[in-house]
Amino acid sequence: MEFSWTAEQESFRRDVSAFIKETLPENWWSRVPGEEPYSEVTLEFCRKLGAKGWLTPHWPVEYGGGGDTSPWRAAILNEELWSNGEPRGSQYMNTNWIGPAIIANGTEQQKRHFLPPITRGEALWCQGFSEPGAGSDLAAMKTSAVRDGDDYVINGEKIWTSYARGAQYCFLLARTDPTTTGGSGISIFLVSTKTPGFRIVPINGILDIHVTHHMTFENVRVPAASRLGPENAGWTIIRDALADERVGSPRHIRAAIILDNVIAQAKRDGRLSLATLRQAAHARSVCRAARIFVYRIRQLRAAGDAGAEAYLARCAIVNAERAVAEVAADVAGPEGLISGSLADGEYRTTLIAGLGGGSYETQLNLVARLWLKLPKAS
Amino acid sequence: MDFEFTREQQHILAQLEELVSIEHPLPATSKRPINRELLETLRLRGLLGLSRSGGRSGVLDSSLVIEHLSKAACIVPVATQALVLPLLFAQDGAEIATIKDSSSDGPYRFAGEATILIAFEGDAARAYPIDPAESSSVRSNYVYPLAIPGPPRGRALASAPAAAVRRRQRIGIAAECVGAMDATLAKLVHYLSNREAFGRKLGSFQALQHRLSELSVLLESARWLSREAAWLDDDESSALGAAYCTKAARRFSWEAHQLCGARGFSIEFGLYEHTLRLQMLSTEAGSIQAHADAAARIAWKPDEKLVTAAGEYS
Repeated sequence: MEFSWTAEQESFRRDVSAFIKETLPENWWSRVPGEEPYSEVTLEFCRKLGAKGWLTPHWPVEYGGGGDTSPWRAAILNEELWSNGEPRGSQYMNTNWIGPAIIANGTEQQKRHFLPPITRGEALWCQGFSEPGAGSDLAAMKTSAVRDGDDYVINGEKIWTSYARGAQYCFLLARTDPTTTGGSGISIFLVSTKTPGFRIVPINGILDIHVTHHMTFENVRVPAASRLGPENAGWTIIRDALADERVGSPRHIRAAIILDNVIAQAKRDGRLSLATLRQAAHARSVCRAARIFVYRIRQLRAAGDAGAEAYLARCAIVNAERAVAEVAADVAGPEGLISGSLADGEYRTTLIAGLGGGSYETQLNLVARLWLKLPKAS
Repeated sequence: MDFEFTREQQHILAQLEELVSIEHPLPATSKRPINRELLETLRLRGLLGLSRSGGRSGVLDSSLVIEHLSKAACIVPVATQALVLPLLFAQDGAEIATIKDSSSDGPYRFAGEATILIAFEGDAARAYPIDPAESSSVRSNYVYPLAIPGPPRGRALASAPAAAVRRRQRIGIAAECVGAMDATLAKLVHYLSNREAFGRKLGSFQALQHRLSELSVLLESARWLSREAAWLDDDESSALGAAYCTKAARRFSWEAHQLCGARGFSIEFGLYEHTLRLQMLSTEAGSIQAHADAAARIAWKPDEKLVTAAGEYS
């Protein structure tokens, strides 16, 4: 057991940090992650990151990755990028879990078609999961995919989808066995957003830093070859893929930076009090705890399976972001209501933290069932 | 970065399993004496001197010992013996030591049997001989024998930088909190998984499940933060670790009794062994806010008047 970085890892972190500073416009760090998911800045940044092999260092070499089986380069990259406003935009999903899901379950044709653009930083994806009647209860989804010769015909709707407007492809869950409920009978489809009958409409909301969308599917015909993995086996695939995603966004790292900036600003403005310092120190400890816990999960994942512990770490990340948002709001007072202020940005991104990638309460349910093994309601 | 136990650490933990499993249950009383037999065994096996090894691993190994013994609710002054005394003395002696805060006369753990008093004087922490007969025991229910130590008798036997002693003290507190929280949660889960009310197992109610799940998040976060602090053995990590773990400890103490109902108050049920210990730990070394103050001072270097105005611990 040891908790230090090697000289090589520290050097890699410095290299990544320097690259980010050279490549991004000044003050890009102050963007809330996801604020510009497919702006020219993010597209150009991802192309450059891909050219350096830093989009997918943890992927196997044969699929354009760096072949690094250790979890730490990817962890360092994620931290440095998230600290700088996540300049990969929506492409963080590609490298974190969409690509790995295709590598693990795709046909050779799918791998050849979908993976190279991801490694080059040229692919934009969205995920078609939640439905109006199936949010946290994802297994209640009803969007259907009915086999018709060599095709499937998809009907239904998805909602609260991030990054859909600029996406080229959708990682779509649909029910292929209409006799089933729950997790069985679901399949995954890799669908072009240009397919006739596929419609995307943005949803007006309070999160102007992060737009979500409503997607409808009206007789969307896709070839059977666009199905990822066996028919009706989608739930297992998505569960494994999202296990990466539980700790894929190091929100706690950025939250700790925001906290430093909030305190620095309070100091400059002569607003620093003992109460604020204490509250901030506790928030810093929560961020630090989330950080070390996430490293633990990354090592478990690299060794095979983090199991239920990953759900605990995800909650720790949410707690970190909330703790910092509280300090930011208290220090800023009414000035924190101004769009673009530190407190405003942290408040809004914290609202997302407890919901994106599965709600906080869903994680607590999973901890109760799988980690604590508490009895089920009879 | 590696979260797996080394072979040496596995060996240490195996020894502890063996020692604690053969320990005879002690009578349940709030004035239990120190388990000197266990303490002497730990000393003879070299388990109190692990932090002397020089490398970072030694302090971490000591914190694993502390975490384990705390989980087993052993009444031994292992945190001070294993982490603080090695800063002051070259040999692992049999003397019991107690640490006095500069802001309070006590009571302190183990002061009634201590022959060494560690006191903070400016930038130094000095170890003085004291006479246990001159200590004043106090009436208290907080599991440990608590007393107000008598005055120093004679010149300082040894000294060490105050910051180093505080750092180790905080690492020890964090590890003790983790062990006691671990034991508390295990007891809670067992009880709520078996206790039936309203026609079903209490642990099947989502309202209670979520509270237990949140305690698990706190515990596992605290566990890794505490171990990291021990590995790094620096001022900021130890202050952050102690701040986090003692705050979590306070919440555990409340929540555990709330979730177990009146049964949790009985001696027979035994929950108090852990919860009262957690409450005590949250007050030690200046209490939760003193750890937070220390962490804030290091992280943001505020105007000194701000953090000393409130009688900050350090």
